[in-house]
Amino acid sequence: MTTITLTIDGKEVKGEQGDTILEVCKRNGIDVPTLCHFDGLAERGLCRMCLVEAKGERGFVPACTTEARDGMEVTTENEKLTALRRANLELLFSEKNHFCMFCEMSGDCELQNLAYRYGMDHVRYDYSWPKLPVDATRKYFLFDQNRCILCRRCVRACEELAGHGVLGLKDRGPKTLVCADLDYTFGESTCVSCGTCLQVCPTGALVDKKSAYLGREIHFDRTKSACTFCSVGCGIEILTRDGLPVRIEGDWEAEPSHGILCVAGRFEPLYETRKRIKHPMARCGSSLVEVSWEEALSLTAEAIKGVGGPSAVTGIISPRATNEAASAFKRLFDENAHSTTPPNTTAGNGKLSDIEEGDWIFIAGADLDEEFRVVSSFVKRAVNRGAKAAVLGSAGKRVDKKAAKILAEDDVADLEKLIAESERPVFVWGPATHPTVVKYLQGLKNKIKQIGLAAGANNRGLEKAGINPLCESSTREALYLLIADDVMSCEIEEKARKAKTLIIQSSYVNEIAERADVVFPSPPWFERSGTYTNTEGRLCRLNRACKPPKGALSDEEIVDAVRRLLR
Amino acid sequence: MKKIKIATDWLEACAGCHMSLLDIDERLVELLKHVEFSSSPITDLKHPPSDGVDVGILTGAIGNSHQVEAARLMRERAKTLVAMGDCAVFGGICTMRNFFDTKEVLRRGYVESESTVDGKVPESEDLGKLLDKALPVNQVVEVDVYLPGCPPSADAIYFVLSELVAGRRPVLAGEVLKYD
Repeated sequence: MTTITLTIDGKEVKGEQGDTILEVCKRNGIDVPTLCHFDGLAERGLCRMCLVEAKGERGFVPACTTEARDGMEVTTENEKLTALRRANLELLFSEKNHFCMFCEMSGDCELQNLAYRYGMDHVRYDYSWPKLPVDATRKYFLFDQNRCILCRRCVRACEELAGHGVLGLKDRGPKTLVCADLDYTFGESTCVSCGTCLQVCPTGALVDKKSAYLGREIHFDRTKSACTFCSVGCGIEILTRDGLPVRIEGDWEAEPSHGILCVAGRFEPLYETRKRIKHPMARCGSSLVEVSWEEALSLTAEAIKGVGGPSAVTGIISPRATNEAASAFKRLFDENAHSTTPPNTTAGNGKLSDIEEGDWIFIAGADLDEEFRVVSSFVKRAVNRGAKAAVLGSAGKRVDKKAAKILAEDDVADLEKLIAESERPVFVWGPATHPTVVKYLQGLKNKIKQIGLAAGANNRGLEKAGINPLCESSTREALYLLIADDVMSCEIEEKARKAKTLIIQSSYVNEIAERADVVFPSPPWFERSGTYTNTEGRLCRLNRACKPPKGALSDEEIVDAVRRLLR
Repeated sequence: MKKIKIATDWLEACAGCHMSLLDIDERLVELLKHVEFSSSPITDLKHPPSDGVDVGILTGAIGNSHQVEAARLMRERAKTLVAMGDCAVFGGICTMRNFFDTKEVLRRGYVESESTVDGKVPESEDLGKLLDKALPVNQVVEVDVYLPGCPPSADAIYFVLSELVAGRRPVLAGEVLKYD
């Protein structure tokens, strides 16, 4: 890298060849106002907030798109620039309908903050008062055109970061509006509600319905954690207020998805309707009664002793459980510990980030639209930059549409040809991959990058702990279910119904919990700490965002306490 | 020190700005050593005195012909005119009707509103005529000082008044410059 030297606001600063003026400013802690700029998105120079004066340049230049040159003399703040920026802000305020007094974003709005910074105490221009629609057809967040400043952050994020490319612009000039697809309502469009646009919007144009009017950034606590709803294990930030989760955001810094989430990770967890189990309960005749933790633990130990010890009990654990809970569970039940998910894929030698490098991406045995949605972002981004995708069977309708080739799910012959033609093939395969293809992949070993997608959020962790999937012969009459906040499959429910002795650890009330002999409350995702092992084998840290009820034990603490009582 | 004379009026407004003025609380006592309040909607004198005032404060947007007159009168009689509150400064919440035709607005308000039975749009000549659009004060008369906020905080109002008392033109920044 060649170092360049510039003078910014009278100070000598250094940058790298190829930096924009804005990048040099950022490197040197010089605060240049921006609106359309967003770290990680291509620069467009749309909002003109970052205009600066550069000696020798004609007029004012946007810092975000102007390359810094050695010896350049730049001024980022002076009276002229303040007047320009203020006028620019006044134009933005008069163009659409910005009503701060009842706007959800007021207090955290980047447009408003800049107007405060540049002392905009009124607007000199006539207002346009365009009559604009609010589109609330999506379940989780709405789009209010009145507050849109056309910075196109959402449009760029949808295309460049999330890969979906749903958002665009319609019309021209003052009539320009953000739209979805060929101007459908968001609800009818191909939008997958990943919410990336929501997270990058600088104003109140995109509003989360759940956390709307629940407070401002200063009222929220942020906890970095990992998503527990599939094995991709995206980094998240959980926003809480008064001990309750109100919003989930993607963590831009975190592997593997760098802030990209999906509807199942960002929105759905906050719409939980099941009733929480808050206290340990034990059977008394036909009903369950609240008991103390000590009582529940000793009743559990007695029940296990009564049937002949842990070797006479089948332990079933959900892949929502942490590695720590899985280890404790294995210690208690040893060979009798089983996971709820069917046999799985192997991890493979690749990372999800390898998809960024591939020239051909092969997908088999996974519905990326429904099961591994963030992986679909990786694939779509690859296709957007010119890579080709080949799908065996189907990878979900939306991914199939992006595929250059669609092969039969067991078409190893054509697959072999395509792999031979490609330079950097990456194979992504899920639990439903055809056995012939699995065998073929096993034969290839390290010749190509392989990424196995595990069903169940922490299935890799369960595997590592030595917990095997449940099989028919392994079910005994006494069952210990660690369900956490998972939903039980019909198969598990059926087994639980037949059980003569049933102990359950569950976050929420369900039919099976109501039949149990002892019920322990299990911490739901926002109260859970520990680690998960994601589908790539990467360790993801979970941090509890909310304080659990007083005296509550973690999943592993419950299991360990039972084990101690059995000694 | 000579006291400065202040007149206030509200136009198309909710009275919240005047409430916020009273929220200055005990500082009002200190302020009253330096200012004299003359006309206001909450005193007996309703129109700014003909011999003029030092500071005229208008709250609310301008939505009808009467308000145009009231604004012009205040401008004429005040040396310094303050537009106070989001409605006076930006048009504020009153401008939500600007997306509709005035006929539609009147029909919605007087005939179609849910609580109305046998409603009728009033037509008396004594009533002000609705303007095509509700406007911020500076689009009708010249304004000297802008004090946005919905309502402006008591601190912001106190700041502006104390600056004016001190003979300075207030420049709002930081905590006293807020739009909500």
